Amino acid sequence: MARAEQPPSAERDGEVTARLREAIIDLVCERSYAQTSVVAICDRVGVEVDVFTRAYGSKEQAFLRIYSEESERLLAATRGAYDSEETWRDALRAAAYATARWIQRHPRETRFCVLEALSAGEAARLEREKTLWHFIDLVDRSRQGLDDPGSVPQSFAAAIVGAIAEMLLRRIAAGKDLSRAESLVPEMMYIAVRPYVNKDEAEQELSLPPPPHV
Amino acid sequence: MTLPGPLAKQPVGRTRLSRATVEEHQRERILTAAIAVFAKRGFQQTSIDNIVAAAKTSVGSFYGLFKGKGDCFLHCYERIVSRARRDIEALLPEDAGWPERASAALGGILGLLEEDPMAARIVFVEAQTAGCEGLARYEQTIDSVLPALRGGRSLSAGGESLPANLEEATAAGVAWLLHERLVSGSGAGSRELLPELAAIVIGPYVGEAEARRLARS
Repeated sequence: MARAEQPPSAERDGEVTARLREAIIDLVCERSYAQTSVVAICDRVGVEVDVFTRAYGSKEQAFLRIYSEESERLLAATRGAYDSEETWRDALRAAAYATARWIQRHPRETRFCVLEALSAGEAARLEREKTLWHFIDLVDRSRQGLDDPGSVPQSFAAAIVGAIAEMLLRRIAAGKDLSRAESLVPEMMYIAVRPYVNKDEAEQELSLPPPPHV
Repeated sequence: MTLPGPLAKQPVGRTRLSRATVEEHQRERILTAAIAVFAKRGFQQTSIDNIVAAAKTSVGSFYGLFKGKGDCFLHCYERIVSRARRDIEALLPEDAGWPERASAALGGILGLLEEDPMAARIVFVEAQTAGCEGLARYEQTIDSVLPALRGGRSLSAGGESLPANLEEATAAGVAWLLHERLVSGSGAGSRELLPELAAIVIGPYVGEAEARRLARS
């Protein structure tokens, strides 16, 4: 039996929602969350405010939905890369390159999620923290490679991820080009593995190439 | 009877404070109240009305001293950071080497978290949510400790070959841990973090065991 065709209005709604989505990301990145109004978003797309309200509800709900979608995409890419490797170091390196390459391909979305989320209300700030805790969990798995996993506290993984997030934030806030984010990976990998390996092993990270399949 | 000068009563109400003194008192009252309000409500959720109510002053008095909420926040931030710098510098042992001074500085920062968690929250939590200028001040604070951190390289064989961004990562990582401590509760018990922070900050240059020994001492 043939599938019923989607009514034209549903397609139009989907297209308008997509255009609203792009306008929200653009305007928040241009003006900040606080300075972006629903009216301005609607003006950019050429729709009435009730269209926005039907699609997203409120400005805050729109931000949170877009944040959730983008962070899920990033985490899926990162976890996929991590799970593709056998050893914890190779897995972490693959995840690091996957993250850096996602940032390079999605600079607007990176700014939206890393910088603008800080000023988009408490719920957005909490979602941002939850995202970071997913990364902290990945780094903290490095302890399983130790003879005594309890010898390195979880706070080390938290400090590593917090440090990398902060360094990314600083570069975004300074308007730096993110197109070469992966050039930072070797140094970040040195910092990330150093608590779990000796100095010579950590220094190897400074010259290891990216995994070929990421 | 005529009393000596210092004991002679002044007529009530005749002693006038200078305008500058009155303004300074008002400014201090508003900043003290604002720090508490920003810490409890968050920068985004704080209004000028919240601040003037807590300070028991008027909106007019507020605008006589500050350009707006953001300006008030930045003054709060600067007051906290300059006092913290002064207090921490007073704790640093003068004749000690870099590891001992770094450990003392970390202890000082954790002490401030315990003793004044609201002020610590302004720096480590709210500044990043306070728009471009708040974030810029926070970044400047991080940058200001990097030269001191780089002092550790002289203790490490091959110190100059350590990654160029190591100190930036260290400062940012410690700031994140303090942020998490504050958002997940209060500053109570923060000093117990000292051995871990010492391992993170001092460990890369002198080894983790020595860093933890210093923290315990």
